Amino acid sequence: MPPRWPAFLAAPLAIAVPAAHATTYLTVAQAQQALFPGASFTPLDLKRREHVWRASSGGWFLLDEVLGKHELITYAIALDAQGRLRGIEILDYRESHGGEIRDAKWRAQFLGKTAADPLQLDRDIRNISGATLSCRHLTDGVKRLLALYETELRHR
Amino acid sequence: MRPSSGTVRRARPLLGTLVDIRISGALRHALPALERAFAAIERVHRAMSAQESTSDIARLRSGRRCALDPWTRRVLDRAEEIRQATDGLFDCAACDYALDGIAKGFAVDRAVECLQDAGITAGVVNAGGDLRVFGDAFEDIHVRTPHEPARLLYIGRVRNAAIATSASAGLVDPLARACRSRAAGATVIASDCMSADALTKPCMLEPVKAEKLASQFGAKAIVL
Repeated sequence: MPPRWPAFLAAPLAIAVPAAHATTYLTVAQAQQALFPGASFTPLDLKRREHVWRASSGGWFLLDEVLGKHELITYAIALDAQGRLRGIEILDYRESHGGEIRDAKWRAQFLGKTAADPLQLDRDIRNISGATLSCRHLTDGVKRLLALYETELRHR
Repeated sequence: MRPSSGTVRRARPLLGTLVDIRISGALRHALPALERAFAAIERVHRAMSAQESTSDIARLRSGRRCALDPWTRRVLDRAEEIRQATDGLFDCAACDYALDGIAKGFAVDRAVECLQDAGITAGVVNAGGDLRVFGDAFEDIHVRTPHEPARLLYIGRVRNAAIATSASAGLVDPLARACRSRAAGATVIASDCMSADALTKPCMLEPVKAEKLASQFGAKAIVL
């Protein structure tokens, strides 16, 4: 059935805006300050894809990415000194229905950006109504980071 | 020197989706206001999650109506009003008290209330597609069409309004007690997000009546 538009909306053209869009919420430094205000951070190289910092105020800042079918999400969690989850922040959200998500070159364009340099892609499509991703990948990612804490960080 | 006004935007995984809050204006109260808004959404998540065994939904399913979060009562009361006004086309009890179809909109409304109480004058709260815009500025709104998620439909600009979109996949018709829908999806524009969220379901089930169903609540419906 074709869309039926209420009278107050001009029947819009079915504008096929780019299927790819991205939002940067926080840089790594901003996320660290949001989760551990005032702390300084020492990186710990575990030779894994997840990035880990120890916070001077006690606790850990863990940075990771989850890759869904259509979305790539960079997120961070804060753990207190006892390993309890005290916060989650999303840093970047990238979505595409064009198959680019799994393309390393497409993903590479987002590296090294800052919040002061918002992606052009996002500028015109900020408010999307309608089913978006489920957060299952993100929930699985957080579980994975908590397991990483148990095996690699708890006894440090 | 740090700027005293601007835009702050955050997202967190809640309500089974990504909740995105963007606020503009004076930044001095922005971060505490954001924390309170996310805390309100967490409260809705805890009380009305269908998955968590300690939620009010679990209580309701075991027949206990006492000790409910007052917010759950508000959602149940509103759900009952909408059930009556739609002749049973919206009915949480038929879906074993799953409040998914209304709680997300309610959470958005509570978050907006927190932000406004904290002195924030403009912003957008978007809980996985159920969103509300407040303040003097108009915001462009795009709808993701259920049958063609790669495309976004630009539906126009709104201010001080809520927009919810639902897809019909898996939607249960409370009257037939079966998955049945005549439209692929529906978008409802209303003054509050709880009503917009709830009304998308009857509008999908009876697209011919969508305009009339929505108008009872001062809302507008777009059948997709």
